[in-house]
Parts: sequence; structure tokens; C-alpha cells
Amino acid sequence: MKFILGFFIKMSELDVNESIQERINIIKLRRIEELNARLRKTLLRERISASNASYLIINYTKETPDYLVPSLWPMTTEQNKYRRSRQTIRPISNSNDVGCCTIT
Amino acid sequence: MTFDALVTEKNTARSLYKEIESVRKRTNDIDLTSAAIDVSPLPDHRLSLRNHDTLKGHIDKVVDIDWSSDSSRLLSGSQDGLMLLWDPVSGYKKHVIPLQNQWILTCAYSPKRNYIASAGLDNACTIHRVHKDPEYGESFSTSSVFKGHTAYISACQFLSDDCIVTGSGDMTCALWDCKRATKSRDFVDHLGDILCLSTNVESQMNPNIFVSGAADGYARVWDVRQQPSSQSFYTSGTDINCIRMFPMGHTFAAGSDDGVIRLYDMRADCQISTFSLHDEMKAFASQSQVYRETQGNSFGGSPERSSINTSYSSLYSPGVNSLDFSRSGRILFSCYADYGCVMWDVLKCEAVGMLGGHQSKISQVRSSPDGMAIATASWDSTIKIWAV
Repeated sequence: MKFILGFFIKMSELDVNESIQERINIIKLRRIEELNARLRKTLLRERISASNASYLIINYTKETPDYLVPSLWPMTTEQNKYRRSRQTIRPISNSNDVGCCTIT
Repeated sequence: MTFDALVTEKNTARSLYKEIESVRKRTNDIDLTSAAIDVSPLPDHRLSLRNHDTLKGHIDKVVDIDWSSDSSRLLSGSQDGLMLLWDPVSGYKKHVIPLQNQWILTCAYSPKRNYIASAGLDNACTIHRVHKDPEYGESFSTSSVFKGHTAYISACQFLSDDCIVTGSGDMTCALWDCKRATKSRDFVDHLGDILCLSTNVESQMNPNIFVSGAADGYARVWDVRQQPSSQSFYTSGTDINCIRMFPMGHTFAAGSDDGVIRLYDMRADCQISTFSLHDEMKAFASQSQVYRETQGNSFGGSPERSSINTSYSSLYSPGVNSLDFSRSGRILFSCYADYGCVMWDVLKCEAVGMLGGHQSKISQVRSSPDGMAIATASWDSTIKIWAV
């Protein structure tokens, strides 16, 4: 009698384990189905060739003013507020001769 | 039954991955440097910028800086617990904003200058409202504190004047509405701490898109109108420390802990260029070797390049800290952990100079929206402005 009861308990444990495994598999399946849907979307994405993308980038760099590259986009002192400020607002602070005043 | 379906789906996923790989290989027909072979290089392959001013005022590490959209103000956040607003031309401090949390990691200026944001190790993003008074000038007050992230906030940037996006160590990004003071949505896909993000507000192209880089080595492109990330790019097995959108808005650069900067194009869906300081130094070392042999001069090459060469031996951790593009995108500024700020010619893929002078590590480099100046912030508590 004890042996038969033990056998049934063992069987029900196996059933529980199997159902848990089944549930895990279902979750895994859903995840991988989602992933596949995303991969299909990625595959259908419209792509341009890298050469075309490169030419668009090159044209953009040629057409956009960039004053940090003075050889391509020179700037006059009037346009350059930083150079203007160095020459007009703070000529003293740039000079090495002038220090703090000394009271004797 | 389920098991069989699982195996079939796994096989489908494998074949889809292979197909995507082959499509990407087909579109990746040329790299940017080969396409730009006809573009003339910079004179002498060099670019030199003048140190316009050194902004002194902070008493601890300056961790982040941001320009206002009209380039008239520079915002700096430091671990001394203060954010300062500077006039970059005169070098004067214009305002000081005391922080509730001293451990700031990032700060941002909104496009129309209505808000300033700061965030850091307190897991919260604080929004400071800017009050503009014609008589008394600007004043600041805390308008909202966004709590919701469960780890530090590593990056924050405004998408528009009322929307801010934050990236956190809890592996998520979040979009917040400043007017309604609520979270709009989460962005969940990364499998590592998010370390950086970049929006594209300045060029006004693709204003709904931003890119994020994380410790899982993936750079992901997000559209605020879509649920999953719209594109992802695997860089390397190392952290992505910094990411920056190209001014045109369809390309971005990601700087990794392995010292390599990779340029990706979203339209072509592939990598189009690579900038490696290590390779550049090696190439230069072999070049100067040839030069030395032919000229009999041990100090061959330009002074700029030979200084790069000499510090090659002392380069220990080459990780990229921060990067930014010049206004046209021709120049890429990149800061290395053990080295200064290197300027790259993006089209020619060569180092054209460097910005030195800081006493400690450079934490951030930002170019001004008007394209006239560069600001570098350092752990030596100063900020340097560079101009022509």
C-alpha cells in the first residue's frame, strides 16, 4: 500500500515538473516569435548603400559653414567675436607686463 | 509540440540573422574615407585652435558642460555642488545654480533656454526653470524633480523645450514631460548600464530620434513614437562611453572603452568609418621611422604628431570619454582617458591636432552650435574655450 502511494506521489511530481517545463517553453516560444517579428522588420527596412550615405555626408561637410576650419571657411575679425574680444575687451589681461597693483 | 515549434522558430531566427548580415554586407560597399578620396585634405594635415580663455571658478571636477542653442551661454556642472553659467566670449560668470545633490553626472540646457536639467548619483533628474525678467535678468527655481530611475542617471538631453530624455544605470531610458511634470514613457531594450545618449535638437532633423550607448556594447536608435528600439548596432565587447549624433542627423559616432570611435549611418544601417588612435599612432611610428632613416633626423614630423608619438608608450587605458563634431561634421573632437583631446578629420580619417593644456583628465568636449568655439571641461576644475 505504502509503495503504491509513493509511486503516485512520484508520478504527480513528474506531472508538475512537466507542466512547468511546458510553460517555460511557451514563454520562450513567445519571446523568440517576438524576436523573429523584429528581425523580419529589420530585414524589410529600406537601406541606401554606404557609398550614397558617404557622398551625402561629404556634401553636407562641404556645404555647411564651419568656422573652426579657417582654410575652408575664413572669418574676418568683425565676424569672429572671440578674436574681437581678445583685441578689444581684454587686451590688458593678455599682456604679461601688467600685474596687480602694489600699495607701499 | 511546443518544443518542436521552439526549435523551428530558433532555426528561423538563425536564418533571419544570416539574411540580415548578408543584406548589411551588400549595402556596405565602401567606407567613408574611400568615398572621400577626391576631397582635399586640410593644409599640412593640421588644424590648430587657439586657447581663447580658461574659465576658473569651480573648486572640484567639472563633469559636464552644455552650450545654449544661441551659443551665448555655457553651462557647467561640477562636483563642488554648483552649476555655473558662463559668458564664453568674455569669460565672466553670469549665474550660479546651487544643487541639492552634489554628485552630479550630467547637465543640459533646453533649446529655447526655458529649462536647465541636472542629474546624477541621486537617481533623480532635477529641472530648473529659467525666469526671464527684462529688468532683473534671469533667475532660476526648481520646477520639478523626476524620480523613477532605480540607479544613477548617466546622461540627460532635451528632445524639445518641454521633453527631456534620461539614460540610467538601471538599463532604461525615460522620456519626461517638463510642463506636466510626469514621465511620458520608458525605453527598455539594453542589457547593460546606459552610459550616454545623444539627441538631435540642434539640426532639427529627425527631432523624435535619439541614440543611446550602454555597457552591453550596443548602440540603439530610438524613436519616441515607436515601442521597441528602431535600430541597434553592436560595437564591441566593451562599454560605449560616449555617443554623438552627426549634425546632419542620420549618422552617429560611438566611442568605446577600447579606444575606438565607430561611425554608423542609420540610412545605410552599417558602420562607415573607424577612428583608432592606437592605429594612427602605429602608422605614424612607422612613418617617422622611414622619415628618420631617410633624413637622419630624430625629430621628424610635425610637432603635433611627434607629441602624439612620444606619449604612445605611456598610453595605458585608451578609452574614449567624450566626443563631439564641429558644426559641419568635418572635424571630430575626441577625449581619451589617458590622453588629451584629439581632433580628427572625419573624411580623411586622420588625426589633425590636439587640444592640450589641462592639468587633469578632460571629462567633456562640446562644440558651440554657431560653430565658432570649442569648450573642454576637465577634472582640474577648469574649462577651456578654444577658437580660431
